[in-house]
Amino acid sequence: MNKNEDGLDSTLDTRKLEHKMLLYYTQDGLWDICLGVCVLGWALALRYDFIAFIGVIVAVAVTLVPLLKSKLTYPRIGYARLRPDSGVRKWLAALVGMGVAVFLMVVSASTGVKDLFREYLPVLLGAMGASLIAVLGRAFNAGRFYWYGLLVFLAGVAHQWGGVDLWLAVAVSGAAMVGCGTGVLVRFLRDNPRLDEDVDA
Amino acid sequence: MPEETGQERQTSGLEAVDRVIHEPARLAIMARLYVLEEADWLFLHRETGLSFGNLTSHLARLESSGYVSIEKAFLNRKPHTVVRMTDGGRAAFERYRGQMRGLLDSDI
Repeated sequence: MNKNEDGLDSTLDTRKLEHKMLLYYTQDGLWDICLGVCVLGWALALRYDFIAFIGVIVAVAVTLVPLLKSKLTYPRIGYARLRPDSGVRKWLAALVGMGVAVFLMVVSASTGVKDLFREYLPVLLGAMGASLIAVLGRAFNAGRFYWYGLLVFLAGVAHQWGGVDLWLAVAVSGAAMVGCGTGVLVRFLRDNPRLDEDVDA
Repeated sequence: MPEETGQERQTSGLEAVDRVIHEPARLAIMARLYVLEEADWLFLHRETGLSFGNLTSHLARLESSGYVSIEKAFLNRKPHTVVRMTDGGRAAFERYRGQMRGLLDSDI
């Protein structure tokens, strides 16, 4: 029996199937917009030196996404939820682990290392933001997020060695994410008309 | 005792396979539900490419076998059906997958 001929083998490959299902979460571009808005919030917090702004923006954006999904996404492509033991949880746990590791590294660093941190803080912040976004991209199998991570890293580099205001560089990368996400959303809405469950199962 | 031929081995292997799951449309539904906590009817319709009528009848077959549970409700005055794989369905799918992997790996 040829495994490639009948396609049964790929149907039974649940890991591949789970990987494909992950695309479902990001194909509407709403999480891209949410991420972009959060990065814009970060830029505004830097601009006005009001750190709580990030929290408010993140809370509003994250609350709005499920609401928008129920209005825009589910009537078009349906609703599905991954199992709690899926790979996404492991990647999100890795994300938290990364955050804790960085925090401990900064806290326990010697004075010399702390000075080095301070000197290269913008580029380090950019690298941390980029890593965080890249892990999100890996968790949700969304290649676009790697580019977003690169944008955030470049924002740090632009400030560190290019003399560009940090808030402005971060705002530009956030705006690029919102723009890209909006493009994805528009294409998604155009390609997927509303489909109501006409005949009840 | 005469040695079993490859053809006979294939037949005896397939006889043990769960026919409810082995049907291609139902296998497509079960494979997707296996990786999901739950999915609605529209999602399954789009993912499997089955027509409304076909999907309904295959889901009914899976429900009667105890492999899925179907919850019907109304959302914004429109019917909304959420499907979940039961523990029995999960065990049956894992058993089926093991059997089929065994058959595929045996190069019969």
